[in-house]
Amino acid sequence: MTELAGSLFILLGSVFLFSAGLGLLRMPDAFTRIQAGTKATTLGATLIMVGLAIHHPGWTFKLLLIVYFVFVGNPVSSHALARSGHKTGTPMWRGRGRPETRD
Amino acid sequence: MHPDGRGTYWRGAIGLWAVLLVIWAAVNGSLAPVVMVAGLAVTGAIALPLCRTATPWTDLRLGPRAILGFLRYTAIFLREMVRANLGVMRVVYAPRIDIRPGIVPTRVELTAPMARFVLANTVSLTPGSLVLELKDESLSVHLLDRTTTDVDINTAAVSGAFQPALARTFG
Repeated sequence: MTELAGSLFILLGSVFLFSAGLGLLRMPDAFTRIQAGTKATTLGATLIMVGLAIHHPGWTFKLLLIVYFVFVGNPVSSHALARSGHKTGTPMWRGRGRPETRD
Repeated sequence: MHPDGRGTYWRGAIGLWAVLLVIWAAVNGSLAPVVMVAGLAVTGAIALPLCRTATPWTDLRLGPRAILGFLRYTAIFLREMVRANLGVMRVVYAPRIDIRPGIVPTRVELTAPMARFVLANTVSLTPGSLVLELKDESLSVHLLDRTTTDVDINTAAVSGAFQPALARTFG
């Protein structure tokens, strides 16, 4: 029963990670791609760690630590990418049928 | 010594020391006396010299008000993060990606460096917003769907729920 619950968490986490990957392919510009990559990977990785913790209760503290580092590292790195993209004038998508501009 | 005096120095040093000790215990997966004594020495050797210059760790508040503020922040954050993921999935799986991205300025009233750091990270993980720049009182945010350029409305939507809770947790 616990094995099933753990595997379900891991499956759900990988669904979110898959959505992040699809987002990277489908989103129209750099900033929206960063958005998709930041949010979905954070929850996806967290759910996979929860699933692993259910499988191996002895790993719980180390897994919690990994989740903590993901929570801090993920937004910091996407902020660095987005900020430098903005500063170097990466064109931004404004919506279907509207011209791309530098803001 | 810390520019703001001895009391500030020790508050920051002990805060960082405690955080590092918790990480040490988690990595070792053990609370055995031998492990903890070694941990106290190692983490102390890192924390005490590091806090000699100004450090955001001095912003940590320890008290019922701060802890309640942090719990409140955590609850709002978890709810918003699930919403953020469902929002991204809705856009990603839509047959036509129909969004109107844009960059908007919002206001930040927090002054403590730690609180501003946590706020910027939080905003990046909540629905439809990505932090571009945090400077003085202005936080530039890239929105997946920009409906208005009004600073007050966007501030309330992006960080309104978090700022009071973080102000209580970090000085």
